[in-house]
Amino acid sequence: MSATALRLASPSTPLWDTLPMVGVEGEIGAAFAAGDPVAVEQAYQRWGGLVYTIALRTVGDPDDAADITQATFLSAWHGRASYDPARAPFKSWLTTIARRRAVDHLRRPVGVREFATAEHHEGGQPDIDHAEGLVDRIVVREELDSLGEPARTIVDLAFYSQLSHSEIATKLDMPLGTVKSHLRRSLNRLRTRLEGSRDV
Amino acid sequence: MSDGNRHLDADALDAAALGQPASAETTLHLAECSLCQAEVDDLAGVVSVARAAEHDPPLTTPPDAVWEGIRAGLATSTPSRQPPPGGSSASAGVTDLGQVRRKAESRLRFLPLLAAAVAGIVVGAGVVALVGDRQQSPEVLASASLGPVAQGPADGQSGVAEIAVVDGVQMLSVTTANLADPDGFYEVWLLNLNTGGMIAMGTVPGGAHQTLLPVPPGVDLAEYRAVDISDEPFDGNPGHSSVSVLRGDLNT
Ligand SMILES: [Zn+2]
Repeated sequence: MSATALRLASPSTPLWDTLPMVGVEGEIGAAFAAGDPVAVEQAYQRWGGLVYTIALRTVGDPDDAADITQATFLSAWHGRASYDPARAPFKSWLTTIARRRAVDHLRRPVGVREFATAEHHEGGQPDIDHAEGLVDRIVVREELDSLGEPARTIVDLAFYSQLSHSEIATKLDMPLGTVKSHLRRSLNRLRTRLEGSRDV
Repeated sequence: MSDGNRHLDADALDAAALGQPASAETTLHLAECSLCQAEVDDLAGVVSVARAAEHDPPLTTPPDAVWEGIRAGLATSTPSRQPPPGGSSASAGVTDLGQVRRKAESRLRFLPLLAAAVAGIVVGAGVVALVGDRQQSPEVLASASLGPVAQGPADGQSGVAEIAVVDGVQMLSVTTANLADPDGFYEVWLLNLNTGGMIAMGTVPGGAHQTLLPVPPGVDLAEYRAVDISDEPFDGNPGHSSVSVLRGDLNT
């Protein structure tokens, strides 16, 4: 257990604000940063799909996506000394690297890009903003899917069924305060994840 | 903001960000307060991304060759053998991979318990009972009997807090009895009675439960010598509400 894995952001920060740093993610991140090669496998098993999906939906070509995924994990491993658990949760750091690599791939001169990639973006010129939007959606969707119950159900009702706090409380037969606190935590968690994955 | 009016509470900000119908008061405040409006805009941005992603397909699993490539890349820079993904996770009991791996697995075996503790999930009784199946028994550093505090209700609620080292990690175990349902939620604090310093440790439920919470490394237990449980309103304010329900001094 590294000393940084359990660090709280500030004395008065609610514990849940620091959750990404103290759970499984913090453990793997700390082991990764400490140069433990087992952590690469752990990280890949958990977030290989996230990294690959970011790459695949950004560049379109499965072979390029495979290359970007490998480069993401290997460059994270070689650059592990630059990972600071106090600055970003590990998954966000990994996501940032994947996002940067995928967008860099799109920015390559057209002549260098492979035919399949160019064809995938029918306009010929890839849209970086569109790619950034896609990555945001993947990141948020993945975080939504990692919410436990009843948070996920509450978020679904608030976001997609567009029910009010009190309508959700009634529907789930749950105290209003519980609904409010789950929504608050989930929204903050999604925001933290989204912002963390955008940092460069 | 003027006349000492308060900013919108967190729930009103969330509701506005979600596009729920707002009261006239909320609408008026948002029109006048750029701080609250900026927070609503920020949260609404998150909601909008999530709504756009509603029907997105699930994540795509990469082909096995992707991991093979990473493993090959690692092999050129690390001496340790890499096991294949999927089949042998940390719990699969691989035994021949050397000191580094054994050390990592020993850490990772602790993860479900730690994750459960962080999530406030209640388990067993006593730090020792909680981690009773571990090879190394925890070393109890300090314990406190928790009793009612002057400004809190005193209807038979009590508790015990214990700080122990589990696998080199300091954990705080909080066991409560007869804790009434909170008005908001119960938050556990470590108190420095000399300086007034406080560290928020996490939440515990009402009733009779035990919760295991990680103690941040670097906390000087010679300074933080009291445990406090407060009833915190859902007001988005991370500070102590001043409504303490149970408190006790840690004795070593
Ligand atoms: Zn305001």
